[in-house]
Amino acid sequence: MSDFLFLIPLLPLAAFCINIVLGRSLIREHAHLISIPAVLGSWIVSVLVLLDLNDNENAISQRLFTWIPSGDFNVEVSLYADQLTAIMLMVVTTVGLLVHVYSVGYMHGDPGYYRFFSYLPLFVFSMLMLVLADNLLVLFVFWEAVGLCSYFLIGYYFRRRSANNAAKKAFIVNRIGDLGFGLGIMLAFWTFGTISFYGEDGLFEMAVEHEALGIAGGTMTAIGILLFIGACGKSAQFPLHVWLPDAMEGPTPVSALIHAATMVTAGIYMTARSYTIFISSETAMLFVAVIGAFTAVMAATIALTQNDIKRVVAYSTVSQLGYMAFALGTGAWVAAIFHLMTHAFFKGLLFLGCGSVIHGMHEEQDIRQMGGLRAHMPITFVTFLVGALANAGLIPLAGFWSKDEIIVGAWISDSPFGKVASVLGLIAAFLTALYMFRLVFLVFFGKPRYDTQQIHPHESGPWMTWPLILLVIPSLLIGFIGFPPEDGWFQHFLHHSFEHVEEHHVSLTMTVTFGVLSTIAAAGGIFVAWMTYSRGAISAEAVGERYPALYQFLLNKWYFDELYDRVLVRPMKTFSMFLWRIVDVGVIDAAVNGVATGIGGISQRLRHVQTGLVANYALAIALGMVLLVGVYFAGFSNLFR
Amino acid sequence: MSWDVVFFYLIAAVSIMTALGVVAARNPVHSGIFLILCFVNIAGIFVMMGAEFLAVIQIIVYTGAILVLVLFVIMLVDPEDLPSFHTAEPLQRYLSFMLGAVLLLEVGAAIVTRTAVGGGGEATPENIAAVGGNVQALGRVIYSRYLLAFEVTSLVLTVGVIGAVVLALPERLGERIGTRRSTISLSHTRGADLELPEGPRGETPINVDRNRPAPTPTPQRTLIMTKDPDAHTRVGGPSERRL
Amino acid sequence: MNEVTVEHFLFLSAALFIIGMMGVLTRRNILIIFMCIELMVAAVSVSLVAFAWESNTLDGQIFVLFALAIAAAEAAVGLGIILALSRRGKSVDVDQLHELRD
Repeated sequence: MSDFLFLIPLLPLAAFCINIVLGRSLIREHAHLISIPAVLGSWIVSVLVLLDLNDNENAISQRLFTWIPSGDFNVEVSLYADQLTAIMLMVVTTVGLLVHVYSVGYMHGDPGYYRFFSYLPLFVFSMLMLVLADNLLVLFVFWEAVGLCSYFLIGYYFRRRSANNAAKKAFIVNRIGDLGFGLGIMLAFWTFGTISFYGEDGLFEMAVEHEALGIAGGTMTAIGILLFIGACGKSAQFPLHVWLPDAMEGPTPVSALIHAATMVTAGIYMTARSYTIFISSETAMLFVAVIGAFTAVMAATIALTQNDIKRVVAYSTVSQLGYMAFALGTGAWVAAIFHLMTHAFFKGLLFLGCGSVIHGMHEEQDIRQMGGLRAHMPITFVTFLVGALANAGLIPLAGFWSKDEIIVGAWISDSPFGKVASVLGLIAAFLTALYMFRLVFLVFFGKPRYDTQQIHPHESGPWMTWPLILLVIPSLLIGFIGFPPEDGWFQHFLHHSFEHVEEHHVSLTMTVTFGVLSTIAAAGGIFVAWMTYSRGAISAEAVGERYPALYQFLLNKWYFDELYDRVLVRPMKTFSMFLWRIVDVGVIDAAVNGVATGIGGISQRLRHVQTGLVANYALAIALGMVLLVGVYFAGFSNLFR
Repeated sequence: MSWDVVFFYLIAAVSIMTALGVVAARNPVHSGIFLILCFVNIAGIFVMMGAEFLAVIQIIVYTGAILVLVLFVIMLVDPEDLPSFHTAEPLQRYLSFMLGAVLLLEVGAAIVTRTAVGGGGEATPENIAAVGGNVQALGRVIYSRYLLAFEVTSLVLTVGVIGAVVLALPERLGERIGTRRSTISLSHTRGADLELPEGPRGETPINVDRNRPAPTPTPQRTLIMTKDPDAHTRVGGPSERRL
Repeated sequence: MNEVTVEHFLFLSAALFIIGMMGVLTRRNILIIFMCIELMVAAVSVSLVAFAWESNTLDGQIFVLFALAIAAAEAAVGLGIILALSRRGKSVDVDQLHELRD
């Protein structure tokens, strides 16, 4: 099986190459016939890898080629797959495949069809290589590559100014995170002397024995924090979360694939992969946990007030990523990956459902203009409902098991922040259920708030509904691979990837107690939503009017964008204008032009030598001759010696 | 004080005075006469140095032919009334006097401090007398060692003759060859008065400034505005045919 | 000073050359300029023959002979140019011939 690892990234890459070269001329609207089989092939090989790794515990790897052979510093590109990798491969290829199928229906008739179906496999290729990378440099390269693909896909409707701005924002905010990531890589290389992950002299093993190697704890903290800053950028944690809601400018399949299931989880994956670095430093873990918990609650509060259907789900993604982050920060590594996996499925389902709604409402995205779509779009309704229930974490859906495990894991962890994080997780669970079902009730229930004469919503075609239906299955059932909690197949499977983590034993009472608490929180949220938006017993407007400042604060996303604009963007712009006007035009251009003008002036003055009179020229000759003879006498003869 | 020295100073004095006369004379004919006298004196110098052949040649060729030619040309050229015979700019005059003085000092210093002294040649007066005199000795050397220079000089003289003949041709024949009556102006920038279409991206192919002043013809020459660089290739153009 | 040495001739040659040079630089009539140039050539001839006389060779004299011949050709051509100039109606005043400037 290790010999076939290269097929996993190669097939989508080949699809990209074919589509981008021949797409406009030859393939055009049949581009999906190239991409879908490619991703399907990757999926099949990923399944085989998973089965292979289930049987034997050792990781498999395949060396591809040497990238930088430079004396002692040898960078090889190899593919490495262990159990964590296998889970990620399954997530990426499954959701990727279903999104490809969905896009056939969603992007039908779009003039840039072939372009979409070339960027999408390019993204899948980059993400797969990121997951399969076995050293920091290759990881970083594909980290940037997924950011690049995200830029392409967010700005897919490039004629729209807002889409261009959103793409730029995403890329630039990512870049800021990548500054931290890059510094972390450099520090790691400087500390450990290697960038390879695995093996006896890989940096993960060295991180475990860092005290024996004489590496200071402070260095490990620094490396951990810097790496996590990179993860903040990619996984949209506070304070670099601002790009994700704007990234909803891209087509909905893009949101489903990149901003729910795969790219944003790259940060979580990278942090989980580097767990040995993090467990060496309590401060770094605390940092991760605090940021994660804060993000989870903050995003949930913002999602309560948003009116764009995709933005609600986007903030939900940020919140769930916060869950994963604080799970990592409190030492619940397996729980974080579990939640990553379940979240990929139900969030993907939710986004694709949003896309179906938007498509059916003829590109309407404001939920205040929707209502009562249950009757018109039944399949979408049912699948969306399942996704919402999973997101809210209602037993026995997938979201419950993973979220519960995170909360329990945080409670029993050694981290000083664990209990606080656990409580914050419960609060966020309540809020999650609340805003998800606010969405459900406002969109699918109630009286239509749109003009029924003008707009006739319709159910989407089979290319779009079948992926929805297929995603319902994991949303319902995949939680059970982690059952019983802490002791299921999933936990044992991943144990090999997290060997240096101490096992905590959880008592049954604690498990049941927290299960009940989570269910109460979720059900409570659903109930409040029902009372407010379906029954109308609580008026949302009244609440909003009672606390206008709070409402405005939440509606404007905690004013983060305005803050960044004031503090960062405007000074930068002023500085750039200064550099342009004063330095570039005033100094550099003026110097160059000044030289030219100066030479022109000198030429004007020297022009008068050309009188045209032979007598003057003869005089010049005679003068020169006299001078030369004089110089000869003065310097080179023995006249004056 | 031998007679040589006396003669030398005499001849030298006369030659310098006549040279000054060449430079300072108002009338060009006077200048020519002074130059003839100067050359005669220089011939005397040559005789003092044992170059009798050269002295005679100098008188026959230089004074007898060249200077007579100069005098003829002076008489052929329209006499002009020159208000002042020195060049107009005082700077030129003063500078040239100064240069002359400085150069004289420099060359004098060079002569006085001369260390490279020639000597040891075979043409001592006894050898020359043995061969039969200056002419014979010169003849021997020219026709053996400097034969090529001799032949080339004859070629140069031939070319000079041809050149002189061409330059002195009568008016009508000369005009045909020399003068270009008109100036062909390709300064008419390509299509500057044509309306060229704009390019696909909205640009024009050249920088056309419609307010640029057109080039003006000077009084002596007419200006032919042409758009095609291959027109008017023959010198003189269509007006060439008259003779 | 009891004997005529090479230095005497060299001084004479220098004096004649400088006088000729000043004439070239100062006068306006082109024919007089031409004659001053001839004077300069003659001065150099004196110098050449003086060196030949001092070193007992004939090369200097042969040089002068050829220079004389070339000067003859040069005179012919130069005077032809001057004649052509005056025929075109241009004056022989050097200060009026400034077409090199335009």
